[in-house]
Amino acid sequence: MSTGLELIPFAIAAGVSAIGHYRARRAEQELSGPPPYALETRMRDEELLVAAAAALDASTTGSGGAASVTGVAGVQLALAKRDDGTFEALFPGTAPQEQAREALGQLDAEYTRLVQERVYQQVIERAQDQGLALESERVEQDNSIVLTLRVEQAR
Amino acid sequence: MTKRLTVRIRPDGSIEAETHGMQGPECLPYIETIEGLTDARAVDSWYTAEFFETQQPNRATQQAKERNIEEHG
Repeated sequence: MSTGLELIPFAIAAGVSAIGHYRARRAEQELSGPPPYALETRMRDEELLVAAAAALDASTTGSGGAASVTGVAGVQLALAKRDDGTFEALFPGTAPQEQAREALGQLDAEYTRLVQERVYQQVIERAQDQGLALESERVEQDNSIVLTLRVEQAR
Repeated sequence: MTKRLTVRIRPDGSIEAETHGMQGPECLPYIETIEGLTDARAVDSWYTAEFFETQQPNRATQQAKERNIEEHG
């Protein structure tokens, strides 16, 4: 019997879209001006998130589950870890939503590219300990990396 | 038959993996192996075409045996 699997790395929240729900962060009538708002993300790994921002030439400050990112698609956003382990992106009320979504889309694309790179490295590093030998690797047109591993020691 | 695993890591971070050349339930421990290799959890699974290729001759063999029993008692 041979089987196929679809897997989601722990660094990405399963079943969550790249840019999730919009939530206003305070009632609009509390203060004048548009309210700050949050957009949910599927990103869970702070180290990769900071690396993704850096790869986009954005500056990042903060740590320990909260970070401020400046310079992605021309907007400033704050990232805060939620109870479910994902980060939500907080935007000032003056940031147009379209621009905010563009920034988050760029951040998400870079983040998932880094997840791909990390998973590739992990498979290469861990294969031998699992009784597997790398037989071939190739990059497909859609930039998927396909690794073929030969079983050296059956489980 | 050589046993193999293929792991496809997509640019959106998702992963597709398949076992090859394995008979019966011997592929099952490799689900955990693949999860450990990739730091990921399986969210879906299916039998590959290879599963059906190896199963069909067995069914045909069984049907031939049944016919043989009926014909010859």
